[in-house]
Amino acid sequence: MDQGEGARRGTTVRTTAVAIRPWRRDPTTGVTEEAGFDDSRFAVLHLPTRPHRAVVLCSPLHAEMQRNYRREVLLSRRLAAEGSAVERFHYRGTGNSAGGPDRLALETMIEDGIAAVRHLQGRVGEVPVAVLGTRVGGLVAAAVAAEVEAAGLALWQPLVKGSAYMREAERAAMARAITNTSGERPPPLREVLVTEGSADVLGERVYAALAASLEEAQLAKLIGEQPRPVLLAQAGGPDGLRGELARLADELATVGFAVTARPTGDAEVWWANPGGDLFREEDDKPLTVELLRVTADWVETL
Amino acid sequence: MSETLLSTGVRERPAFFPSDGNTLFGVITEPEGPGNGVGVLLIQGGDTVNVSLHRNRLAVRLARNLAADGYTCLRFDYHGLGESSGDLGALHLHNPFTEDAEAAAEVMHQLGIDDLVLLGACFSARTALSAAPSIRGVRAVIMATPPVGGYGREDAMAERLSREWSWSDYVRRAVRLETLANLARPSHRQAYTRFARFKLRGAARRPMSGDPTLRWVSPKLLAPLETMVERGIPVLVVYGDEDPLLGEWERAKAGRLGTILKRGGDLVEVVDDLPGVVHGFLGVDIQNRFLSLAVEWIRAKVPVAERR
Repeated sequence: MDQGEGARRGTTVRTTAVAIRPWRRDPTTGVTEEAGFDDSRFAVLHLPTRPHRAVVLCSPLHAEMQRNYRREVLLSRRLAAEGSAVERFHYRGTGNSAGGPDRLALETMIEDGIAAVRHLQGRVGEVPVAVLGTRVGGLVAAAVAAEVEAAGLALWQPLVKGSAYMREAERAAMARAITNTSGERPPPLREVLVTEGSADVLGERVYAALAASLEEAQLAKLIGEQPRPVLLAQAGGPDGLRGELARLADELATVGFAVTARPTGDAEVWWANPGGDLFREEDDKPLTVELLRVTADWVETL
Repeated sequence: MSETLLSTGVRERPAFFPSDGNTLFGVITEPEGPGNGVGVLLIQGGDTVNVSLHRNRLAVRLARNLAADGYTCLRFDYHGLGESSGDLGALHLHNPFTEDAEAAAEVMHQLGIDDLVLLGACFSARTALSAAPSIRGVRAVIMATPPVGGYGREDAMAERLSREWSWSDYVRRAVRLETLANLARPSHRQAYTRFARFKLRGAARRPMSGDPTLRWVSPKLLAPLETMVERGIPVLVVYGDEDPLLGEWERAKAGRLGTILKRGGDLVEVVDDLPGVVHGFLGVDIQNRFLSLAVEWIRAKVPVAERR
């Protein structure tokens, strides 16, 4: 293969056939990664030779999805190397999946999460299940885990109330506007969603159906009443969980949930313009290292 | 799991493929029926985007739009990003990820697609251009907000300031209380050292250079662009009218870039009046304008064979 940067002229490269497959096998761990579409839902499976656990990941949305993407890939690879079959998926209307983004709502996301669990169980059989969700994906994961007998639930900086999502999005858009040359403040998000049906938040199209579905959503209610192991990881709280998440942990423990609280040292900027931080080695970031470690340790206990 | 068929008559399938010891991940988007024989490589990744979906699924939308029109598209994750394997390494404009683009082009060739359009933004615009001369069958290149320098991420600002600030600007800022206080912080000390180094380096080079003000323009931008012109391959360059990188491009035209553009005539088309900032695609309106522009330009510039 030509190693040059393109300055040399007339070079033709690669005359031998290369393998193009919908899967890859990691030679060091023996784990197979299989990508494809389960109907219209894009998913990637991480399959060890003899899985003894099944883990489904429910991603965040919009800019937060991009921020967490590689971290979720790395977590999946680590869990699979340690014996868990993992499925990651894109909600319909997002990412590589089919479907209109205007129809995306908490309900459709939960349907996709449940479908992912069933799909993975169909591949690996009856093994203990855990569901992990990040940010808005935490609401999804909670509802999905409630549908699966004895499923563990891991939450990375989850939204305790769905309404916080739009509030944080709006705050990020405001912060961005301050640094714009025009200095123009964007109109209130709620107003735009009502009049336009969607809004542009830092280059992400957010639809009214999603906002409406999140408005009343509460993590405590979605988790259900059946006690189960719960991991709560909060970025940026070295001295313990803070605020609503600390209260949630207390409430869950009171009613018999086995809560593992894992505050981590580094904070994360979720919605705001990612700047240069996205194009860095993800596994060099202390927060990622810590999140992967505490989650892998917790999964081992299930 | 299998491929999926979208309602627009477009089907998609995932593909893992090798690139320089790594395995890259991509999604092939193609018309359900016979295609037009032209492929579009959507090269994603840079300071503001790290997965092949791009912001607000811009790459997904581009691929599905183009495939509905008969084009076969491949969007892929660079090594160390998204679903691909490997370690990312440093982002440096001197070393765009040419090998990844070449490997993706090989996927297209194996699908029987011989005519290719390469499309990238920012760092990936440089990757597209750098890879273009060594890829068989390139028919056009689209670059959104290409930086023209040759710097790494950490050096970008220092390099720009060394050109834009005079010595008195440096001195004035150096003696501010805020600056002096910041000297206690290692990260700031490093940054100040970098600023000084670039300014001194610029001064040291000046007497030796025939074109001292333009040494910062990367030969690794100029050489492949010149090759495109020599080969008669059309290139589209896109900036928004408020793009910070547009100023660099304009200043660079005073040197060899200007000569190449003059020689290229209509071959290198520069659209620099999209309203606002294209870099980072931080607005849906600018995304949609770019999408329409790219699709229309490909239709106009790349001859399509009979459907096959």
